[in-house]
Amino acid sequence: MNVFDIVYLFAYFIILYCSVLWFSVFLVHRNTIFNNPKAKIYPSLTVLVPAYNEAGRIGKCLDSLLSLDYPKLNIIAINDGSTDNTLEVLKKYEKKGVKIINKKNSGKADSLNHALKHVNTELFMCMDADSYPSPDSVKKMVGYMEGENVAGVSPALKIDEVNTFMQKIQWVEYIFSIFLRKVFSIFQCQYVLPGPGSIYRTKIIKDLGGFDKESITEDMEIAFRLQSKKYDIENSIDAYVYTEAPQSFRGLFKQRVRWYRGYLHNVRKYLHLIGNPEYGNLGVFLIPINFIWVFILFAFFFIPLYTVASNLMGFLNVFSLVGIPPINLFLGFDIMYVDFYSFFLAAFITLAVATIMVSLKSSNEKIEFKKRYLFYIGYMFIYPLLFSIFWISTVFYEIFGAEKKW
Amino acid sequence: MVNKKISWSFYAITLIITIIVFTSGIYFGVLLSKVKVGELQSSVSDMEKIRIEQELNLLLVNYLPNKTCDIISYEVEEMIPQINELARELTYYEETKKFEETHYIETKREYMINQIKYWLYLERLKSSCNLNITTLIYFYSNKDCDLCKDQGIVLDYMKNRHKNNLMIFAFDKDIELNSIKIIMKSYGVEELPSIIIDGKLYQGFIDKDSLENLINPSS
Repeated sequence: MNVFDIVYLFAYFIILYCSVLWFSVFLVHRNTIFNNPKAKIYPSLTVLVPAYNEAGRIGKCLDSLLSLDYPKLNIIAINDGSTDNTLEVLKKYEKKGVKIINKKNSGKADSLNHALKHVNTELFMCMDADSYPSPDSVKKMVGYMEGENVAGVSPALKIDEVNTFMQKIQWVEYIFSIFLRKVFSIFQCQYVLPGPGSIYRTKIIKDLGGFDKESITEDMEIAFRLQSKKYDIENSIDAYVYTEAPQSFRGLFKQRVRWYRGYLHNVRKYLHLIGNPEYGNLGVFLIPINFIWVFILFAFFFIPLYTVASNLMGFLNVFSLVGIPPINLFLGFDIMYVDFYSFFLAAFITLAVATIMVSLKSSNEKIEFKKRYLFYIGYMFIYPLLFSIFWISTVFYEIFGAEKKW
Repeated sequence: MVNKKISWSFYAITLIITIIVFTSGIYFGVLLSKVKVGELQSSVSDMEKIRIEQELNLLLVNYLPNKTCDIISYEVEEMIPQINELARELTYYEETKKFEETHYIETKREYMINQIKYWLYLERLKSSCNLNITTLIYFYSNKDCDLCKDQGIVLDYMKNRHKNNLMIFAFDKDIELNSIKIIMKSYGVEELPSIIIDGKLYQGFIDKDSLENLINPSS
C-alpha cells in the first residue's frame, strides 16, 4: 500500500461513517420526521421580500404569498434600488395589501434590516423574489416556533424549473439537502437558514441586531449566530419552497464559490464553536468533519489527476523506447484485477443509490427513472467532480484573497 | 442558555458499524491477496510439471535410435507464450499488490529456480536438436535500478515481436538465490541492467534497435 491507498482508505472510512450516521438518524426517526407539530394558535407573521431587479419574477412570488393558507399574514416588499421596473410591478400589488418599501441599493441584508424596523408581528419570514412557497408551507412551519428555545425554522427547498443539465444535477442535490437538513435539525446542527422561506422569531433577530451586512451569505451567518447563542433551529421536511437554480456551469460556479466562501468566513467568525461541547453536535462533529470533507474533495481531485498524468508520462516513456506498443486489452474477469477497491466501489455504488432513494422518500418524490435517469447519473458521477472544483476554487480564492462580492 | 446536547450514542453505534464494514473491506483485500498468490503458486507448479515432462522427452530423444526433435521443438514453442503470460501475471501482481503476502516471496523464488532449470534444459535441447530459439537472460532489480524499468519495456516489446523463438529469462538480483549469484559471477555481471544473449554478456541499457541486431544479426 502506498500513501495514496492510505488517503483513499481514510476517505472511505469518513464517507462510510457519515453515511451510516445520517442513515441511522433517519431510520430511528423515520416515523416522526413528517409529523410537523401543529400550532395551538397561529402567531402573526410578516413576509419580507427584498428585490433587486426582479421585475420579471417577483409577480409570481407575490401571487403565491397572497394565496398562502395562513390567517395572520403581512407582506412587505422591499425595492432595493432596482434599475428595472421592479417598483412599478410592486405598485400593482400595493392595492392587494402588500406594503412597499422603496430605498437606495444597499444589499440584501441591509434591505431586510431596514424592513425589520416595520415588522411588529411575532414571526417573520424571508422570501427571495425568485422563489415562491407552496400554500401550506407556513402552517407546517409555525408549529415548531412554539418550542421555547426555537429561533428559526427552515423549509424544504425544491427547484422550480429544471431545464439544463446543471439544473438536473441540482435537482437531486436539493432533494438530498431536504433529507440532510432534516437530519441536521434532529442533531440541532443546521448552520443555514435558507434565504427563501425561512421563518424567524422577530424579537430574537431584532435583539441580535438583525442580519449581517458584511456577510456574503447572510442566511448562513444568522444561523451561525443563532447557534453561537445556543438557540434551536428546526426544520419542516415538507414545507416546500420552490426556488430558481443556476442554469449554467458558470452561474453555478459563482453561486457555490460565494456559498462556500461564506461558509469559511462564518467558521472563522465563530471559531470558538469548534470542538466546544457546549454547542453540541455542530461544534464537536459537523464543523470538524466538514474540514475533513474538504480535504477529501482535494484528494479525490488531485490524486486521480496525478495518476492520469503519471500514466501519460509512462506511455510517453514507452513510446520513446519502442514506439506504439501492441495494445493488450485484458477484457473479462480475472481475479488478479480485483482488490479492496472493488469492495469499496460496490459499497459506495450501493450507498449512492440508497442516498438517492432516501432523498426521494424525504421529499415525496417518485423515482420516475425514464424521465430522470440523467438527473441521477449526473448526480452520481458528475456532481462529485463539480463539488471538488467548487471547493478547490473556493479555497484558492480565499488563499489568494480575491475580493469578495456577490 | 442551555447547552446543546451531543448525540454520543449515535456516534458510538455508527463507529461500530463503520468499523465492521470497513474491516470487512480490508479483510476482503487480504483474502484476495492470498487467493491471488495461491493462483500464481499453482501456475508455477503447473509449469514445473510440464518442464519435468519435457526434460523426460529430451532424455528419450537422446536415448532412442531415431532423433525425433520436431515433437519437442513444437512443445517448446507452445510453452513460450505460457511462460511469458506467467511472467506478466507475476509482474502485475508485484506492481499492484496492496498487502505483503509472505507466500509470494516463496512463490517467486520457486519461479526463479524453475526458470534456471528451464534455461538449462533449453540450452541442452538447442545443442541436441538444433533449435532456432534465442535465449536471453536478463538481470534486474526493482530497488535501485532506474534503467531496469526502461529495459523491461524494451524486452516486453521484443517478447511480443518474436513470439515463439525468443525466450527471455528474467532474474531478480534481490531474490536470495545462490544460483543467480553463481550465474552473475560466472559471466562477470557488475552492473544492472545486464543481458546475456546466447552466452555473451552485455552490460547497461540496450535500446530496441541494438537489441534487435543482437537477437537477429542477419536482419
